[in-house]
Amino acid sequence: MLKLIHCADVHLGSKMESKLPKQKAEERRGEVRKTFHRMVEYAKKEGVRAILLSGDVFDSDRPIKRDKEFFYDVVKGNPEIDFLYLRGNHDGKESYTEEGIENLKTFSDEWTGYSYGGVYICGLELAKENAMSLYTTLKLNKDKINVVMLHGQTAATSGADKINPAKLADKNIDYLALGHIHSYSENKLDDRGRYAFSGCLEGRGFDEIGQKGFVLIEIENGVKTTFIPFAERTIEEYEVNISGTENGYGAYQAIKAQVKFKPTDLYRLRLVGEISYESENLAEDVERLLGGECYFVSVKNDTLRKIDPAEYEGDLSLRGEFVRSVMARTDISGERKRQIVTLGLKALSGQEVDA
Amino acid sequence: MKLLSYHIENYGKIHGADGKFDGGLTEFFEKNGFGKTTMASFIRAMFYGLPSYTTKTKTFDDRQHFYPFEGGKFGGNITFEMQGKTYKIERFFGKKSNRDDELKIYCNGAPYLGFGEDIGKEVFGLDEESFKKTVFITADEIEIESTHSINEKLNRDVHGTDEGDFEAAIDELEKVKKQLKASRGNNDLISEKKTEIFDLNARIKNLNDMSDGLEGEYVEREQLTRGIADAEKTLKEASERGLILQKWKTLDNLAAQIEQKTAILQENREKYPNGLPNEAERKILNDCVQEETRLNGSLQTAIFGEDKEKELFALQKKFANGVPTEQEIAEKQQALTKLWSLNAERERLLKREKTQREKTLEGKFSAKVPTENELAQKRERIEEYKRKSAELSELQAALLIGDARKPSNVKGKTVVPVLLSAVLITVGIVLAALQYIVPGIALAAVGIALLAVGLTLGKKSVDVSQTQTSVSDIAALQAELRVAEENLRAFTVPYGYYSDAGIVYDFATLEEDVKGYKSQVVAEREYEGKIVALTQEIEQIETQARDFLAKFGAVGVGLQNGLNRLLAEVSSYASLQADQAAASGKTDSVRARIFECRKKIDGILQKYRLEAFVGTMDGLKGLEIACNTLVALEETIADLQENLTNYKTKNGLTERPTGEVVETDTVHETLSVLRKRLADCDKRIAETERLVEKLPDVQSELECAEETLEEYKDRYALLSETIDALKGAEKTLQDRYVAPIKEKFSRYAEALERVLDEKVTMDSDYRVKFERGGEERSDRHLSAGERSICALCLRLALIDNMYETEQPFIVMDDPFVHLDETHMKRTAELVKALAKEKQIIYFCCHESRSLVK
Repeated sequence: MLKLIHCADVHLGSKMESKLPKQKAEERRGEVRKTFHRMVEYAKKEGVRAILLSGDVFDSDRPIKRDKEFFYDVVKGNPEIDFLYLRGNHDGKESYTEEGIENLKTFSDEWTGYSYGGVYICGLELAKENAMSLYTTLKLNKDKINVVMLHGQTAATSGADKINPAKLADKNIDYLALGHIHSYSENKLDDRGRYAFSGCLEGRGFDEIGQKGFVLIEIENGVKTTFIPFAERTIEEYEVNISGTENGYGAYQAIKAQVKFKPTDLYRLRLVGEISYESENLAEDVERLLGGECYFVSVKNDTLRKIDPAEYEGDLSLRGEFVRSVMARTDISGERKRQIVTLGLKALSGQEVDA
Repeated sequence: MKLLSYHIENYGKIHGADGKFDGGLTEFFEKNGFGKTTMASFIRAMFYGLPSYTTKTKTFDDRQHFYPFEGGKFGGNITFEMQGKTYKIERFFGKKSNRDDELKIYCNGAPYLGFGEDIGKEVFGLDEESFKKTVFITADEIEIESTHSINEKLNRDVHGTDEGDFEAAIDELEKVKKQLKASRGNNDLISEKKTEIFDLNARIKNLNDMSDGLEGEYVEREQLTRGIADAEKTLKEASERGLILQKWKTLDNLAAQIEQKTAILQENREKYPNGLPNEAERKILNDCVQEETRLNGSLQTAIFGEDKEKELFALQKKFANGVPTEQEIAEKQQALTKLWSLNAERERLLKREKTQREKTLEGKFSAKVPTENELAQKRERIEEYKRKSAELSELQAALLIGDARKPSNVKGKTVVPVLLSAVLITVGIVLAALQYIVPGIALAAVGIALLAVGLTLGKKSVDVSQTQTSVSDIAALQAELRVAEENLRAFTVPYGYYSDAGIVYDFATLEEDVKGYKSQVVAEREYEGKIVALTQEIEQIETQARDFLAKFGAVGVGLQNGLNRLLAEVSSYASLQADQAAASGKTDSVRARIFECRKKIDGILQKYRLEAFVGTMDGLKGLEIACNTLVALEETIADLQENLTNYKTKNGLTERPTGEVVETDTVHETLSVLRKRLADCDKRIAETERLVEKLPDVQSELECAEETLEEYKDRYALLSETIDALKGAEKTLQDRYVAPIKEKFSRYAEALERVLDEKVTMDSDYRVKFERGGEERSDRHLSAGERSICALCLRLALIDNMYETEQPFIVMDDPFVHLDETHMKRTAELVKALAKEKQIIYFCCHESRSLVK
């Protein structure tokens, strides 16, 4: 049995979620390296013959020395594993600074292949020049197990940075190892094969939520794939309705009741619902209260001020006129109306307004 | 509400003035300088007070303006009627500050506090500013506008509610808006955030530029790395070539050694053209030569030689008279041993040393020894001397004691000396027995003397009462003793006996020493006798021994040596006699074996044509060395050959490279430079990368800043929208409340139309407009006179709406100065008509503007 790992979008040296404090951002960058190394250790333990890196190993065309050294040290330190490194849209230029590493297999803008017994692994680095031709130039032996590596966005059309799965159907592909999309997904390519994005190894921001990891490919009388969640930390996002709460602590309790926090993970909470109390600093207050529950939490307060128009129907004062006139508007959203009313009433009541 | 009367104590130029107001129109028509404006100010000041001022105040306010020219108390009072009650306000003002003001209010004659501090606001429902714009009409205040206070008054009156500080809310919101975005300058959050974003973008650009610059550094690094690799390769090749050449040199050295050793071997072999005996032959040679040597030695031993013959002959001659027996020799040895012992004893006696006492006594008495007679005589004298001494002591004691002594004490006095003398005598005897002769005798003598004294005392005690001792007797006795002592000294002193112990002691010592000396003399004589006897015995033994040795010719070598030699000769003589007997019969067989050995030796020597010398022990040694040398050379050459072959194989030295060792100094130098440049390059890269590493953080910062900026902008927009919404609501309210004002205004406007010959309208902001040439125009197109009429109408309309139940008085301080005669006439009619419903206090300074005339 031949074992392979399909992994992509490691993004060594990438920036992290902008709201993360600098120290934690640096820590997370270290964890990205650590997870990559753990994956290689896993591969060694499981007897994986080759790791397919489907693009964006580095976050930059010119990765910094520390990341480069780390990557090449890992590659050179594990000669029993082949690293099939196909460059993506992020690391297209200067990534290969070391030559002559026997177990580092690279690709170009033409189809390049490597054989492992009856398994043939090939790949091509997408460029404007080959965006249209790659479909016709791909020739695969139907009697072999064929694994193809590409980095780009799947689309129903062809073009730069695009991969059209329909055009790769019936090409004798058993497994199409894709990179570029940071979440794992697998789909049927044709009667024979499948295509999959392995996703990234570690979520970096709140646009990369959910489980992250790699795909373990086991080839023996066919191709078996298993997604292995492997991230050091998971990033989660929740919408929490705190209607009915009476103050910030009540909101905290409502959140605790709805979300099970893990100390290792990162969370973004969007607070929704209608509340009748002052909530300008609610997000910060809740973040402080939740600080010890998890690795990091970011709270966005999208709650609305609870306003009952009926209360102001008979109010002939400026307050009544103001609320009625704003609530009667049709040119702005309901959320905006509530924001204006909340702010206006606060000002009219003589309270200080925050910038 | 109506003003009833006033009293001006002092106010401006007016002092001590009193007056009353009519219910309708009250006109103060006086020429300029009378004090109309002062009067009007007085009325306003009674309700609203006067502003304070300081030296820093720039405006010329009423407190300064109307401070009494002639001094005196500054103020007065005013009486008015409101809601059926009569109120009187009495105010006096300080010169500068309202802290010095005095205020009293009376209601129906009684002090009243219901108006609080702000009387005008309480009475009219208006602040001072609004009061000026409504009920207090001057020629200067012709701006047609409402105030918030007026609006509030209108709202409150309409809806009976007083909530919502619109202006404060707008101010707060505007203030926050300005914090977000100032109307001018950049001191606001949005500008700051934009600046921050600009800076962050600049930093990112800078970091990106640095990152771009890294590309060049990477290329340079790659070139340097390659250059270093090339140089290292060159060095490696040069080193390998040098190593190979070095190995060939080593090989050459081995070959040269082999050649040298081979030459030496050849040279050695040439010395032995017929070769050298092999190891077995050399062993035979060695064994035979050794055997031959040993046999020759044995042969020498077997032959009774000439020397032995001579020696045996000599001994036979010596012992011609017989050979001494062992018994004889043993006896002589015993005699010599005894002789040694005797000599030793005699030597000891001869060398004996006298003791110190013996030497002393010899020194004193060797010349002359006192005879026994002399000593006996002197001993008697000593006894006499002692007796007289005792007598003298008694006499002296008796003289000392005298008659005072009781007879009962005599016995005690006798007993004590006797007992004491007994003790002394005993101790003296013991000391003498212990060889302390002189002290012993002395003590015994003293004891005896004391005994005598005791006995004398005992005897005399009987006669003590009868006998009287005289001093003269003592003196005589003392003289006798001195004579006796001198005589005795004459005897003892020549022998050296004179001491402080006294003559008795000295004589005793002399006697003792004489006795000792005599014993010493006897002992000396005994020693001398012993020595003589020993000497005789020694001489006898020596003579006997000498005679014995002389008999066998052993003379002149000492007795013991002679005896030893004799013993050896006896032994040798016996041995020689035995050897002579054994020698005969052995020599023939030994000579035959020697011949055999020689035969073998010679056979081998002849085989290799070697010199005869080789057949000796020394020759054999030389042969062995020569053989070993040849073998060692052969072995060395073989080893060297093997080393050479192995070295060649091991180092793969098949073909000798051409050329010489390459000089690598330049390459080393180049390598050093390249390595330094690479280190510098790495340092630059590390420093730049250290900075570029911050790029993600800066990008995050930028994202945060941009997000915050958007939040600020949204907040700003929200604030603007809220302000607009609040203003809109306020406007709606105003629109709603301005309708009745417009209605009232229209009523007055009808009159105005007649006055102005224009159609006048009013908008929701109380802005008066009129139509001219079919176009609606702003009141600013009206003349000042016309605008003052419009302002009057607006004020009247406002008053009508603000005060529906009880309207206040209206003060007009010559407001129509801008009107021409025609307009003034019409206006006068209007005001007089109004005065039927309202109290109007009208001031003017010109007849043309008088309403009454």
